[in-house]
Amino acid sequence: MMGAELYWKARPTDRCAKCSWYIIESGERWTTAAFRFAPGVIPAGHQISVESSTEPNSVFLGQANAEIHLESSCHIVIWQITRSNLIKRVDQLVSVRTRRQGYLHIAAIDQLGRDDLLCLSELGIAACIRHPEDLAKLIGPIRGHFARFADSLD
Amino acid sequence: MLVRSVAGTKIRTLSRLIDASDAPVWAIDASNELIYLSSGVGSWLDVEPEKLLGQQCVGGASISDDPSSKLAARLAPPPGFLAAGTASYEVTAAASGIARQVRFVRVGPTDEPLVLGIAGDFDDAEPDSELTASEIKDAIQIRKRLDAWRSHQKQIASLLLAGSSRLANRLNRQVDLACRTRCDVLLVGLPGCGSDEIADAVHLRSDQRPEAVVKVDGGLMDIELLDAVLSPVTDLLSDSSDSVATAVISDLEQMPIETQNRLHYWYESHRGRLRLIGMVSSVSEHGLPSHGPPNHGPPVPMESLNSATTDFSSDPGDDFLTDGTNSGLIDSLSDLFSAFSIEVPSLVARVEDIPEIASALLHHQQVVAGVRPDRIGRSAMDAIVTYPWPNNFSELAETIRYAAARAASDSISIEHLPLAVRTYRPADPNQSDSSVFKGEPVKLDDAVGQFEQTLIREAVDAAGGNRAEAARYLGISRARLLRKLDQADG
Repeated sequence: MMGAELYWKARPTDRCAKCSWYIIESGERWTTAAFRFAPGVIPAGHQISVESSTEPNSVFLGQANAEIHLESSCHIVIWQITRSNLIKRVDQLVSVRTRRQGYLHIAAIDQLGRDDLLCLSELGIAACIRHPEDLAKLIGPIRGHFARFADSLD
Repeated sequence: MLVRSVAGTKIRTLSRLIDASDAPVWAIDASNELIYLSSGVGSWLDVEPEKLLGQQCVGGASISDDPSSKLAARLAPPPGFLAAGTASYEVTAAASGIARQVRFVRVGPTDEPLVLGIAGDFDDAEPDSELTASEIKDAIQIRKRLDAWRSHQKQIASLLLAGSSRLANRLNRQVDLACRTRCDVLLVGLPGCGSDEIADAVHLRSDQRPEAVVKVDGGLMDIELLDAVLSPVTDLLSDSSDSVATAVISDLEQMPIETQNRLHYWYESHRGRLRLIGMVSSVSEHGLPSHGPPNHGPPVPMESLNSATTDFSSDPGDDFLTDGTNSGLIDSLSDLFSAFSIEVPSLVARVEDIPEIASALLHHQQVVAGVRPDRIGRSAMDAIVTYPWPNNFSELAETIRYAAARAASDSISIEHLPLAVRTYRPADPNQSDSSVFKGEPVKLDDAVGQFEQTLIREAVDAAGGNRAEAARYLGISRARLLRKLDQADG
């Protein structure tokens, strides 16, 4: 009892992992899908945050981490990619991949051809989805990505 | 049957006229070799045309680091050209930066083409469809970006392969052989050791003509998702009997058995044209992949990992892992990769290479990020060499990136390194009075689990049996507390 009391008075180590979702889109379709399906694909008991932006923002394109191994969140990025914004998204994806490793990148695609899909795969897109319900089908890869992150937690 | 009985006229006069016009003109044969280059090519690219004769002219990647190979690659036609028979493309000379409009024309049949490239100033009529011209322009832009990314990946791989240790030399020889042959390769290594980068290098430096590649994250992928991810290459291979493609699969041992069977089905369906580059994590002494199934994911029967290669226990000689444990692959995939597997060593196994790799990483940061420091100080290098690098190359790369960004001087000092690296102190090997390590080894997970259960019981008692209150005390969710209580009871 004494040991436990002392432990409570000290700041407890938070061993709850956090999964951060970043949705890069114009509109709300994929943000809504993330709100709907993210709790189902991430193991229960862990925090989930969903941020939406039309452009990759400074949240995950800022300075390098203050300290290695203190990354407290698993990151999943959903990119809305269409024929019209493909080149811009490619540039953004390359920029993120160059500065940040260990993120899981998913493309929400529309009107892309085979060569475009091959290009995205080579640049690190793990899976492509066309409809919001497709997000639920990615439970395997997302949990695998989360597990790899959780393995590295103290 | 057509019999060619009439020879064409000599082309010596044509060749003289082309050289006199100073127009860059070149020809590529069916095996993608440059067989003719006018003097205008030499002036434009600032190179002796003879040096490019016989070089492989393959778009997107040079065959080697030879400058001639890189120049030859620039003269290749754009993707999709052979089907169309003609294309326009802008080619930039690396030395002068001069861009020229180039017309490519295919001569002869599609399966044995002769390609002519002619650079000049052209003023074509407006295309019938603006959309088509726009799509071509976009495709060119995408291709440029993809080429830049491939170049970046090759640079990263070269950093990982730096060093002169025996393991580095062995790794380089194996990677070089994998690049020269188009065989299926299995990369075995610890997390962060650079298997991904080496897989990229094997694909990008391949001797063959550039081919489509798709990357598959094998962990817990089901059949439907595998089909979807592979669909761009399976469609490509189905559409044309000449096409080839590569699939790079990470965490292959994490892939469920039925999905591995599906992967093998696709391989067999396009045998000889679909190349597989697989990556598996090194196996622990208990015979399990180091990642194992996720703690909270869908249950993956442990038997499915251990029993996937049922023959291994009876014939350990077939196992391509040096420690003799099984790999978590089905027999057909194990057999497929039995010809060529590369064990990617951990960073600490190549400790004598660490200074060279760290310096190369710093130089890379100078080039890509313009950081100020150009060297690593002695004390910092000592700390880097001493640190055990549990996450291997990826952790070292992140450390150098972090330190280079922090250093305001020309040298990285120890204070610029991350806390974990600069404060690491190896345990005294002579120390024998630690009660923790006396006698039987202690399993950390078991010890932590026992402490957790004690703490949870005390919290629940202190909260009078109120589990929600106990969860608040412990700073965890009620669901997590209930799960841990179930684990204790079960």
